[in-house]
Amino acid sequence: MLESKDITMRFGKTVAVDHISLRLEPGHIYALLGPNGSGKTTWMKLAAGLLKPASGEMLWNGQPVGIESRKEIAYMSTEPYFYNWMTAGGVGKYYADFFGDYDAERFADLLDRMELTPELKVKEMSSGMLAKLKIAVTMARRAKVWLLDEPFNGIDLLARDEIARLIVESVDKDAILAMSSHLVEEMEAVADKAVFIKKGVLAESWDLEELRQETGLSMADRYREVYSRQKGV
Amino acid sequence: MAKLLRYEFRKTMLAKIIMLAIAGTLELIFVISLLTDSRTLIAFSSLMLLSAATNGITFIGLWSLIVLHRDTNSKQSYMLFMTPNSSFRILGAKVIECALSILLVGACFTALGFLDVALVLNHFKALDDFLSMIRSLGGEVAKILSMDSGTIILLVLSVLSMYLMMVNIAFFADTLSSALLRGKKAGFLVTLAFFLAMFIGMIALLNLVPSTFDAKEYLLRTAIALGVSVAAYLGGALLMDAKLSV
Repeated sequence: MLESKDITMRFGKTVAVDHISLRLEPGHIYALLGPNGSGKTTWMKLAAGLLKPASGEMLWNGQPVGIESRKEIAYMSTEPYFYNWMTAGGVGKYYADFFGDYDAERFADLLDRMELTPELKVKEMSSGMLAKLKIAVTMARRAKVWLLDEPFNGIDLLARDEIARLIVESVDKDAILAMSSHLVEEMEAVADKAVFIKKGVLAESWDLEELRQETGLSMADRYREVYSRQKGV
Repeated sequence: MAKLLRYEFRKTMLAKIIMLAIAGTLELIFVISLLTDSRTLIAFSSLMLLSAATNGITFIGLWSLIVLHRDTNSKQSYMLFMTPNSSFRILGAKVIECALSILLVGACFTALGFLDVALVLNHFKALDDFLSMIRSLGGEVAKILSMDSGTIILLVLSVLSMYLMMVNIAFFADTLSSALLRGKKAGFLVTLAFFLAMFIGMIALLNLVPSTFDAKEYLLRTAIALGVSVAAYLGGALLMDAKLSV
């Protein structure tokens, strides 16, 4: 279980994450929702052990996240981050060198299904190709937790459904998948839990089936309700 | 650590290729000048080789520092910090790469220098005279300094530890600048300013050691340089761990 306990993160005077307590249980797909600057990315980086909180704790199976948890928690940032001198195959090799849960066969299969080849050079790839490469190499890990920050950014409309299917197919049944996105409709098709973050604070957390039964609203409808209040509409 | 080190060498490979190309071209000019007996060209290429050797070492060190700066101030930082490696290992691999690269390039230029001196002397039929001069000079130097082999080893160690101290101070300066400025544009200039200030300070500290040209002096210099190296490395890794965000 991935758990944030009353976690707070500040950048100077800005409070990016404000006392968020949240539990992510194995076997579920979480949609982390919120407008730009709401704190989704910061929360994910805290969960990946890339940032140290100002206060509170981020725990993976009861232990604070850090170097050890990075062996089991796969994080994918929204921006491309590969070295320019690498090829797609070289990126896979890099992951193989550093992550014990990396599956080279799965990577080859995902690359193929995303219509990429190992010989492609990172510096010659389009933003869409880089977005696909990020997903392929991240999902090639047999991680216990995947944290994908805006995975559909840069991917064209027609490819999104296929990419979403590939992501979900790659996740083991007892693993956790958490994705942040502005594309609420796409997320609703794959997620079974929704977390609404607003101005760094956890606004609401729902099981989507319960949300539909209790309120009669879809995730997208609820998103509009939660965030239109923020904009004063 | 070995895998991190391998990638660090890959990141700085271009710098070494550039140096190899420059050294190769200058060496070719030098050999051609010997074959054609062009004394002006011999003098010119010799000076250029000497300049490449001294500046090449600085260039290699600077390149490693630029790689560290980019690795901590761009999105590429994910490639390092999302892996299950501690900041101590990450910085350690960078320090080792930089120190080894400087030594390697320095050794290559030194070997090339000896070869070129031999070629010149052979060309002008003065090799025997030169060798006897070196032997007598070496004997005189050894007599003047009254050094035994242990003292000479300590002298070499003190020089090497100075290099290591320089590398560690430079890397600490960059980590400090990155932690304070968080990716701002002038960050690398601030790194260089921090480095110069710290390095001048350390040289002033080392100059407090009396010049007695004996084992005690070199041992003390080595101890100070290694102590500063360890402090700068630990400080850099701790800063990286606590203050750098990706």
